Formats: sequence, structure tokens, C-alpha cells
Amino acid sequence: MNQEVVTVGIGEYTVAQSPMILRTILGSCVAVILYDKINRIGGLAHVYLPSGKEYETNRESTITSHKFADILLPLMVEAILKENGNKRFFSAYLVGGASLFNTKPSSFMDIGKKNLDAVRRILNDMRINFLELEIGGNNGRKVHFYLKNGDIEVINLK
Amino acid sequence: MAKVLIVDDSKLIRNIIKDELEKNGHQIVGEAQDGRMAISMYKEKTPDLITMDITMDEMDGIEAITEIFKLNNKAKIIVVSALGQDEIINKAIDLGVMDFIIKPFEAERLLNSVKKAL
Amino acid sequence: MKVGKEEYDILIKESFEHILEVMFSEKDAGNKINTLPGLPQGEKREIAILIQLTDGVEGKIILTCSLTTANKIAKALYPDFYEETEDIDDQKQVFKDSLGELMNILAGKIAYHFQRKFGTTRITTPTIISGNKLKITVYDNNAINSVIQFDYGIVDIVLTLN
Repeated sequence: MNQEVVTVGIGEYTVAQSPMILRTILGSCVAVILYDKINRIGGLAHVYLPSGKEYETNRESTITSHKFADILLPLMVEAILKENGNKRFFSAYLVGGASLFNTKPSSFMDIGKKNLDAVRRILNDMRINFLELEIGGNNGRKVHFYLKNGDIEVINLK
Repeated sequence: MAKVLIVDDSKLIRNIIKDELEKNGHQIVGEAQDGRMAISMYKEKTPDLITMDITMDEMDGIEAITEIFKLNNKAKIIVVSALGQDEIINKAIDLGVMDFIIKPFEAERLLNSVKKAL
Repeated sequence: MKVGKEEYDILIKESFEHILEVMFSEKDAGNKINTLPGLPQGEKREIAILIQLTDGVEGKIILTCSLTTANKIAKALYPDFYEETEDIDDQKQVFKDSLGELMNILAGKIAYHFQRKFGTTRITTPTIISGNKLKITVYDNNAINSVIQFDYGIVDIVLTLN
């Protein structure tokens, strides 16, 4: 059986079913993977920026760009549930959030850490527990997510 | 000497069962990783006996057992599974399996079960 | 759904004793296993195997350990076929077959233990989380874990319940 491989780009999410394979490459972005192993459906979100709310300039404008974690993640969850995924069976994983360009972890420039903090907060708010697989550091990562059985491979691109 | 089809998604378990049965003179005619493969191999190889796991992707052991009995209601099947709960054992026995071996199992347990079945 | 830590520790230890006796052919397995109070500082979590539990016990069981421990366990279970490899795909398959089966058996024992309390539990096939430099952390407020030390290394078995 041919397994379709889909690359998830920056600021995107993709929801897929078995036997598809989702993949992405991360720097400071964070990949959030959700998988319902019973129904064999899940998604990979490539989070680029933390929170849209920080960027709202006035009350009339609403940031709806998918680049933001607080827009992207709820959309992905909704899409999985629409395809008959069940939140009770979710496993969730975080990868990425590297500090590139030699920024100090607490620096305002450290978007990697901000992305991680945002994603953790959002998943906690959604009451979704998660595993962190490979986070922080200074290197990029390549991630493969197999919808057939939920297997995940993370390759550190040192 | 019997022709045996081994069904389990774990290569480790398939190897353990294969080693023990071959050492005792049986012939392994096929190995299947899931229920669907088990059914097509059963039709192709017509084994005397099948060892069947329950938890597998694609099609689980209970469904495969049901389908194989439809093909041949005298098929000889021994379940070898990590699931030892009463409800599951009773379900398998009701379907008509000859024995239910719970993992991890001693070689003797497997061999006695195969001997009894044949 | 609640499971006490003490009950869980005993269940995991006894399960490992049985597995060690039968699958690793270790005599006197009881004296070769220790339950540690927690994962020791510096102990790596470089690979994870996960099984979903539904119907009776609802949640997940997750094994994490270092690659060194994973290789030792795989070699002990699979002596005629094990070959240490750096190829990620080959490594993944070996671990899935060996550690995955270990977890399958552990999940079966957990399901059996709780059948009177919670009913019949269904389990899935194992999921493997692997890579070349993983550092895995489990974030779950409802999780209990049991850390087992034995001849092959240290494994952490987490049970997260819905």
C-alpha cells in the first residue's frame, strides 16, 4: 500500500488518517502532534508564533492568522473531532522550540521558548496532557508522524 | 509433525513460537502479522494448526478467528495473547479455539497445548 | 478513576518479576528488581513506547528509558537476531518488536489486575517514539509512575488515566 507523505508547512496544520505520514522541519517553531490511536486519526500543527492576542493593536482587529498557536491548535482539535476523532483517546506531543541565532533563553528574541510556553499553556487550557520529545536547544529537527500506528521519529539536525 | 501458521505482530513472539515448534518437529508454513494476512495465509497454506495473537492492527485476532471458522469450522486454533481477562478468554473459547495461552508463556505450556490440539 | 501509587508499584514490580523469569530466563527474579522512588538525576529518557487503554481502565501506559537500556533489553530478548545498529529504521523495528512486546504484556497484566474493579480493558498495539537524541518528558497531572531498576538498566512506566 502506498503511504502518502504530506509536508506540513510553517503556520499550517494537517489532519490525516491512517496510513498517511505527516512530516515537518522545525527551528524555533514548535510541532504539536495529536493522535487518536483508537480511530487512527490525528494532526500535526506547525506553530510559528505564540499568541495572536499579543499582536492585536485595537479592539476591532482580530488576529486570525494561523501562524499563532492560540488560533492554530484549537482549529486542529476541531478538525480532528469533525473527522470522528475522540479527545478521550488523544496522545499529544511537542517538538521543537529551538533557540537559533545564539539568543539567550530569557531574551525577548527567543521565539522558540515563547512558542513552547504558549503551546504548553494552550494544551493545559484544553486539558490535553502531553509528552515533550525534543525541545529547546540550538538545533533544528525533522519530524515524521505515522498515522498508521502513531509512531513518531524525531531527528536532531546537528 | 504438524504444519503451523503463526500469527502475531511481534517478530520476537513469532520467533519464540517458531523456535520451540521447529525444535519439536513441527513445520512452520507461514507467519502473519495481522488478522487479514492470517486469513489469506490460511487459505493459501492450509495449516493443521494456527497460533493466534489478539491485539493486532488491521484486523484483530478475534475477528480473524471468526472468519477462519467460517472457512473451516474444524480449524484448530490456539490463542497466544497478553490479554488474560475472563471476558476475552470466554469469548475465544465460545468461538471454538482449542486453548488460550497467556503471555509470557513457558515453552512447555505451548508444546503441551499444541500436542493436545493435534 | 484512581489508582494508588503503592498498588501500582507492586503490580509493576510483580509483572516485571514474572516477565524476567519467563522471557529473560532469570532465576530469582524477585531479588533482581528494585522499585526506585523516582527517576535518578541524569537518567536519560531517549525512547518511549506507548499503549492506549480503553473501556475498563481508560488512559495510557508509557515506558521510557535510555537507548542503552533499550539495547540491553532487546539483546536479552532477541539474542539470536539482535544486532546493535545505528540505522534509525532498523533500530526502531528491533525496539518495537522487543520493548513493544514487553509493553504489550505489561498492559495485559494491568488490564487483568483491574478487571474486577474497572471491567474489561481493551489495549492497542504499541506506538514507538524514537529518534537520535530524544529527551522525553511526560506532562500529565493524572499520571502515576513506577521506576524499575534491574540488570538491564532503569525503566519508567507511567500510567496516565482519564
